[in-house]
Amino acid sequence: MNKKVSSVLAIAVCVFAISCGDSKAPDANPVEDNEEAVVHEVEVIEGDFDEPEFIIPSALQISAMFKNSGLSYIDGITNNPEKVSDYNSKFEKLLNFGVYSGDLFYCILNDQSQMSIKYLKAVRQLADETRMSGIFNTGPLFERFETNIGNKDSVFNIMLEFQEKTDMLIAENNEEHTAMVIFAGAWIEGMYIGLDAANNSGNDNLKARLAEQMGIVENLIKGLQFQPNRSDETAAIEGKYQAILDYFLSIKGVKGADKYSYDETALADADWKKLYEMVRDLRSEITKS
Amino acid sequence: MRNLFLALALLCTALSIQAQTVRNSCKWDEEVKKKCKRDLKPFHYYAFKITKITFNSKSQFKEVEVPLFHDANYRFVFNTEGLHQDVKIEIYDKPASNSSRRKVYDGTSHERHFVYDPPKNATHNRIYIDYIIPASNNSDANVIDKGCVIFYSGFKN
Repeated sequence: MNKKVSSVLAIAVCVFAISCGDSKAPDANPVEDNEEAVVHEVEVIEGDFDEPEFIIPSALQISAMFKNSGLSYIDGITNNPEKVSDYNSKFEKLLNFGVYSGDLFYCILNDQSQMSIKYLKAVRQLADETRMSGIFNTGPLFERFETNIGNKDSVFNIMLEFQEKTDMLIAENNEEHTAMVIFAGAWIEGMYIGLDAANNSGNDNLKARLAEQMGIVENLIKGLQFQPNRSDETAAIEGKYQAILDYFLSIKGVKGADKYSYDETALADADWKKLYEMVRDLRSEITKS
Repeated sequence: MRNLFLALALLCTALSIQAQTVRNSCKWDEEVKKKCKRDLKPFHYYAFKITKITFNSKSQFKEVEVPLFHDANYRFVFNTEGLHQDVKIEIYDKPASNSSRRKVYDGTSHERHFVYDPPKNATHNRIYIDYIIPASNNSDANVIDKGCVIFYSGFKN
């Protein structure tokens, strides 16, 4: 009985304290002092963890750089857009959101209109399935893309807008960890296509741009480690990106004057081949192909 | 008796929740978006980041690494309207851990909205944005001040 009385009393004291607290809350500027109200206005959601302190580069710019370095279109090298339903976990879907984004940019830059539409559909499906449908819902992005498909400059600008909307949606919802996974997928697809071409063509300009991309991998791995619900699956994938970086950095003479400078001429043909194989194997695992 | 302790613990938690109010000045609305987009032209969109700041009793330091690529020029647009208190913004060619780094920009959030085009010769493959955050000037320990810096960037080949 005594226990019951003490509990009831204590709960009553708590309720009283809470109601007293309300009356003592600063009321000079109720909007500014009310976090919920301010957050709603700003539309930036507060998370429980800090965001990583680096910027993820634009996958579209990377594709454009490869294209400017002489990367031409290779029929059939991209991931089949009909495989879009093969990805089950959110992690798989996000990685392949990135892969298909990379394929989409590659097709656009190479005037592959019909393939571009297929990849945009695949990206839209994965966006819907990963709660990122807002990218396509804030304006007729898909319709504008189809209407302008013959106009390369317009389509490029629409893709810049797509990238911008994705980044903003992610930042506003405190989902930076999501962006890291998408970028990891886009990066592996871009490198796979680029390395395949470099191995077959011996294009030195493209090789220089591919080596430059290795400077991104360290942050890409940090981004994967930043995932809030890391599983064995994420750790295994992360380990494979690390192995690619470790192999690249182990090549004699590749390290340049500063941390992210590399001398691509230090890579022998066998090194390029090995790098390609490592990237190809990881890409096969991610895309299930 | 055990229940009494539990209830007292609940009471303390309730009181501590009540004691702290968060004042978040972070601003990322349509007006700021429009300003950033307008000032980015003629550069193409490259990257975007909201750096969130929580002021506390000690000064803080945040460094953001920005990757840059060969053959491209970049534009950075900063908007600091979402800061309740000023912070220093410095841009370097190398990270804080490198003693030979060179400062390429020095400013404060007092400017509220500004554009910086890093010169090609000052940047190689990375640039580092340092936010030097002073201790909170808010004397009310019951109020936590938060804010943010908007970083919006573009590229041009």
